[in-house]
Amino acid sequence: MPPSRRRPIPTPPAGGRPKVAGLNRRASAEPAVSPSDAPSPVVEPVEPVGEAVESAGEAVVEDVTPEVEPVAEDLKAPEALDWTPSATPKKKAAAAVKAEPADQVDAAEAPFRGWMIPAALLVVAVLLGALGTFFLMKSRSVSYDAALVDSATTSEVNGQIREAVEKSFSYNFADVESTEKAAKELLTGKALCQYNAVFGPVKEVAPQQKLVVTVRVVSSAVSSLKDDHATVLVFADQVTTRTTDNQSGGGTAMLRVSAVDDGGRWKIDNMEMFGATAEQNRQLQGC
Amino acid sequence: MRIFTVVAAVLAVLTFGYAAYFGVAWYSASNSSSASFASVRDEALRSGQVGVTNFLTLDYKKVDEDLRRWLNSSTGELRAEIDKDKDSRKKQLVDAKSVTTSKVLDAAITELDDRAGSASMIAVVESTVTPDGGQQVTKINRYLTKLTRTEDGWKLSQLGPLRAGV
Repeated sequence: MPPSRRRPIPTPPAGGRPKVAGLNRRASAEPAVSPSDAPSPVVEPVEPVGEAVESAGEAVVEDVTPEVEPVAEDLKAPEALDWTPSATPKKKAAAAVKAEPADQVDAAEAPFRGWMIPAALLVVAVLLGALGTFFLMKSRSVSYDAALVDSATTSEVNGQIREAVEKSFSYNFADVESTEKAAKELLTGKALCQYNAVFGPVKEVAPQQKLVVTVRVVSSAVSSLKDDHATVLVFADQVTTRTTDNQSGGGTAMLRVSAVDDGGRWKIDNMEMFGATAEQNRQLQGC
Repeated sequence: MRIFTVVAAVLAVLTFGYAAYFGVAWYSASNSSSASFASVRDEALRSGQVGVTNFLTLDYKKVDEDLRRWLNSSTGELRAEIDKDKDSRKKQLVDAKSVTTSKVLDAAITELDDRAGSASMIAVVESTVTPDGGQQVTKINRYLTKLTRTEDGWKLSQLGPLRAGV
């Protein structure tokens, strides 16, 4: 093992010279700063003339700065310990030493570091802004049908539509006006036309036959509720009595009713009948 | 230079607040109890429609399959009922020699109790009955069904027509 180690050592000199030189420099520079020598040369110039101070100070600075880094990395602990006490007496000089190279570094890297930080922050801000807007739009677009979810409005719609269907489709030949009044109040738009189409024929024969039509909603449910629009599925029973001969007939009806909130009152604005005859459908679609 | 850094930093902080605020707003909106209740309602409605269709569809040539499907779509009372007189029902269906197909025209949930896992649904169903060698008849009927949530989703626990005068 020893011979193998010895051999490589002679070979590198050609390439290794710089290293040796570097080591030599450190070695040569060290004594200049070393505790014994350093205090005297530095202290001496400080007291005499300013010119000498400046030149000496700069010279020291230049020598010291390159050394400080290698010292921390390469030199052994005892040497660093030796060096530090020497630095304490000349704190002012050290402060000056530090301040000068700091300014130089700033000036050198300013075009990069100076703009890098605000630019990076700006990019971050733009990205966050975009993300925030995305979240904003997502949170706005979260929508669900409020049927049953908004239980108060759901039962309000349900109750008012039940009432509207029962009142406007129940009919007593002796009191035509109340039915028509109810229909005008509780139906709106297209539904009024549909109502006339469905109920018109009944009204024609009603006075002669002395008809009494009673409509009762058996079950109903709000299938959709969005803002001021609702859809209600209504199951109704209809009992028609001819009071002239007391004949009565009944039927069932399934309606899909659209409702709109008209100033606090839900009104029917469209009706679809399930199981309606072809003629009824034609009449409803004519509106 | 410093001013640009400060302005950019302030902007970054502000936009962070903006993004954080609406991120939380989005999260809370899409995870609110209202939104989850709405999705439970939609799920119950969908399952109810499928269940009703299953129950009102049968073919006397595939009675076993139909009965199995009925059992799969039902729970509780309704399932027990079908399971109990499966054989007599099967015979009845085979003897009827008819094919019935149904589709739900419209349906809506009348009540929903998320905690109890129960719901009621009304449905308008169009059924087409084709007797063996006979002429097919299409009818529109209305049904009321109760739904119960099970481990496998919502299932029918009651189903019945809503006849006139009920």
